[in-house]
Amino acid sequence: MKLEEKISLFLWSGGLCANAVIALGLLLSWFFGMGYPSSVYPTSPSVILAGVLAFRPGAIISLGVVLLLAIPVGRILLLGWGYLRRKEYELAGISATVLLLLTVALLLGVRH
Amino acid sequence: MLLFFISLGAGFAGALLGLGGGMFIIPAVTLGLGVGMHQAIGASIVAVIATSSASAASYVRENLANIRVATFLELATTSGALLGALLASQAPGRLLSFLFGLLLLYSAYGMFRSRNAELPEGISPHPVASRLRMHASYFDRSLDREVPYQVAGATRGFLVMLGAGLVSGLLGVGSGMLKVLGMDQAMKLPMKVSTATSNFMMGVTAAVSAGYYFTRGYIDPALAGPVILGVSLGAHLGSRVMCHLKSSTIRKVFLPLLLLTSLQMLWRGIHP
Repeated sequence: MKLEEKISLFLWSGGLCANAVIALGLLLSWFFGMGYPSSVYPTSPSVILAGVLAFRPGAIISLGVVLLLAIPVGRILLLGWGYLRRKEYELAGISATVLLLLTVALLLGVRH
Repeated sequence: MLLFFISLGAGFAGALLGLGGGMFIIPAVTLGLGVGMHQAIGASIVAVIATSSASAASYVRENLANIRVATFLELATTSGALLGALLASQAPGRLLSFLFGLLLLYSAYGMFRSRNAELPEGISPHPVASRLRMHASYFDRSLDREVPYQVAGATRGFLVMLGAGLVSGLLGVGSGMLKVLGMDQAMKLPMKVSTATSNFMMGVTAAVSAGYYFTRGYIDPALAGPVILGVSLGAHLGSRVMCHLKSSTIRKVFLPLLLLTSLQMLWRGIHP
């Protein structure tokens, strides 16, 4: 499979996954509410996971949001790996640097 | 439900023009729904990532988004965004808005002059672009033929993207617009390739600040959920339509929006 096809498939299935989880959460919240007091919602992975296991719709939507936020990161990983396998070391190096910058941003808690 | 339809429109327009849809989401939810600014930016970040994923899935498959150009330029946008975010508290916001407005106005003039050009002509390929094998081709459905193109001005394009990253870090707006302009005006890519590649890159620029907004609780699932569903569907439809449009048509939709944003930025710079 061409690298372009792989990337396209990844973006497509990642988006579909995130949207399906969010749609499920929204549907459940229609019947059962968010499962949290108003304007409170989970923001850390462990709380989201606990919430999903407890079947709280708010946590299920948040899980979908996390899946969505992971798409760009996964896409860089996939692309970087693809370049590496094709021995295009310059582009693989650039991908690795971008990934490093994203990690720094996450650790520093960068905002707009 | 209203939120879903606003988002649908934002995703459609964002996918068509390479803008991500954040610039439509923020005013809609702050003015229309009375949502706070932080939550609105949080919603716009998820909207940008959703638009980018949905539209880029088709653009990459259609060879409209150039992944090599994107990889090269992402280095500039992420560095710029990180730098901008670190400098944001010390930056003279009004002066920056004014300068950004001028830059957009100048680009609008450049785009106005080339408004009827369907494809770029007289390109001298840039050595960096040749080395990283960025030159490519795509099948244009509106012209019904394969369009080969070469990439010029890689250094200038890189600098514009550094600026686009900085602007998104400092001002929180308009980076999609600069991305499209950088590829269209500096690197002389066909307009459709510019908007498609901008969409492809945009998710990564947004991801730079996504972590911050998520962990601080600025991404409210009740707001983000409908926004993501609407934007994803809108972007999916928008990317389908875009493949069949002419480059000159996309330019003519882009131009008034560019002019409006530049005036808005100039106003923000003059008015306290």
